[in-house]
Amino acid sequence: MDRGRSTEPDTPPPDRAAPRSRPLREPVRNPWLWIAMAVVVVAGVPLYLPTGAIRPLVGGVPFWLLISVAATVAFSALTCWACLRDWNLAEPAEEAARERDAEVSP
Amino acid sequence: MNELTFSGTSGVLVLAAYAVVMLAIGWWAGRGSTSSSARSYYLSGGGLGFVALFFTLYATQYSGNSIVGYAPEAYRSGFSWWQSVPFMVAVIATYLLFAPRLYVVAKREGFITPTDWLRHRFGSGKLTVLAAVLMLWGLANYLLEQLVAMGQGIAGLTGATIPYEIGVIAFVLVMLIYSWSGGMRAVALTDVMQGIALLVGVAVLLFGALYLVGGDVAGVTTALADTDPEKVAVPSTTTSVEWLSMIVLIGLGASVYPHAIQRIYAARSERTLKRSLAVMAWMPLLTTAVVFVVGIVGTQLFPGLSEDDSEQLIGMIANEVAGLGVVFYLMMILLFGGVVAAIVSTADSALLAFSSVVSRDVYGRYVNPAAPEKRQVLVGKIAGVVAVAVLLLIAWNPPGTLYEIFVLKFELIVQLAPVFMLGLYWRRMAAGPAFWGMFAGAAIAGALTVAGVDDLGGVPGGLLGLAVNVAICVVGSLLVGGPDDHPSEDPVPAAREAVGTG
Repeated sequence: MDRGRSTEPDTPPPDRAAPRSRPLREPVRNPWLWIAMAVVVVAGVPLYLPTGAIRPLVGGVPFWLLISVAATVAFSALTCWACLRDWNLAEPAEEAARERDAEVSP
Repeated sequence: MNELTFSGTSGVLVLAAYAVVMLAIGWWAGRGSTSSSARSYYLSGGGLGFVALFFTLYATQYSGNSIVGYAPEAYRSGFSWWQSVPFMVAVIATYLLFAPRLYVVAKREGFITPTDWLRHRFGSGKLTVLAAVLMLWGLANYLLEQLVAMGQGIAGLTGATIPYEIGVIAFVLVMLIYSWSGGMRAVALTDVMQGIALLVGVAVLLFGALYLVGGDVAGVTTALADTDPEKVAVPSTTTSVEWLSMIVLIGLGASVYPHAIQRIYAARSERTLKRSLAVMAWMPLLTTAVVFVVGIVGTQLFPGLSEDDSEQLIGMIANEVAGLGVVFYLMMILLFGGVVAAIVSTADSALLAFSSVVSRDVYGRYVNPAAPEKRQVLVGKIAGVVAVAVLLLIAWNPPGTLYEIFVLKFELIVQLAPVFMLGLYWRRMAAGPAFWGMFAGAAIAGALTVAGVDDLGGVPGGLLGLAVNVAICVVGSLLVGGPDDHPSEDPVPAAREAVGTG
């Protein structure tokens, strides 16, 4: 998987050039990420809804469960996004070292 | 599952085939490796690529209990068991709190066990000893749970053609052989096979359950709303608090399990690690969400089961599906193969982490510090075998009293979270308060469990212990720590320098 990058063109498009040209990032430094995480987690727990409520049913499923499912999907999406886009610490140096190694022993 | 009658010889054949494949992978992984080096044996030399890393994260995080235990939970609790999906996502989200920085420090310092971080950050004092004890206790209990589940799974799959004890011993031997010969490399590569088996198993389970109700999930939920409205309605405040607490407890606890941390160390590169975790963020929707649906469908297939009977839900559904025809029968064989594979893949990871802590943090640090690495690794392997033997004895002869201490896992392991999640960022954090916080947290969680108090108003004892733990850490460090007591672990300046952008 990682080796696939050696076949990339010299000047990749900006999004594919990502790790080296993107700024260094650490998820813990991004307060908005954690605010968003807290919002999707709390939105998924039906604490704020009246106990015992079932209806309306949407496609046979109670509305509150659909809210929880949607919040969970958002939680997964946010976590996935943070892994791929909000985390860039060692990769630039690792990629640079690998490219140097590849030049030394083609 | 012990009542499962559809299988027999074919179940034995599938299990035998699984065992042979696992042994072959283990032999292949161990071939020519330098297993005398601790880093090579315990971390596969820190060179796991995307496929191996992703599947070892997946197969380790999801155990057999994620299927056979969670479906009955959904059956009994109803829709509030949806919590099993966000709490598994939370494990990955929590990794983001510490894994990026820990990965950089671990690669730079050559860490092998989670305790290596504590020694690096807080020195070799009583804190590292306490952490090692909690890790060993948590891992041993986790392993014990897998051994019990393994016996039940195997007896279920073979319709008790293979008795419980024989099944466990056979698979434990297979696991020990491949772990002994190939270490982390063997564990990770068998996890690829086991993870695929688990995914296939979950898929066929869903297919089978939906087939039985004619694909009408809406009909199931509507009927459930009429017959058991409390399972469908917005749960009570206490249940919702418990739901939120489980997200926090499992997120924090599962991400700092020693085998979870060692997978951060074992990644070949940051790119590999973050891509694996990015995919892992979606896996709860493909695993625990599916099991949740199966449990809900079960409420209409087998209404009115007692708590004990509902534990057999997966076996009952499998029996029904297997009776539909040869193809369905084969699919259910695959399902139980997947369950056993999931159990073995979780057990082997816990066992390897257990061996590494004994080898490096106990034997190599306190018993015989002069021992060469090869001897340390050998001692770790032997300790693993002895631990499994002792745990098997406990599994088959459960102690009559204080049985609760053998179920303590998350409650204790979660007490390690502050030393990783605060210790990496807060230079003022001091070893003394960290020790007393961890000690108090573990004591509170342990005492509540032994006293039979699961939770207070929906908040589990482990989380209450953690709150006290954090309070002692923070207040104590503010009192005794200095702002620059420890060097910064901020990797950004060094990373800028390395790529020439600083």
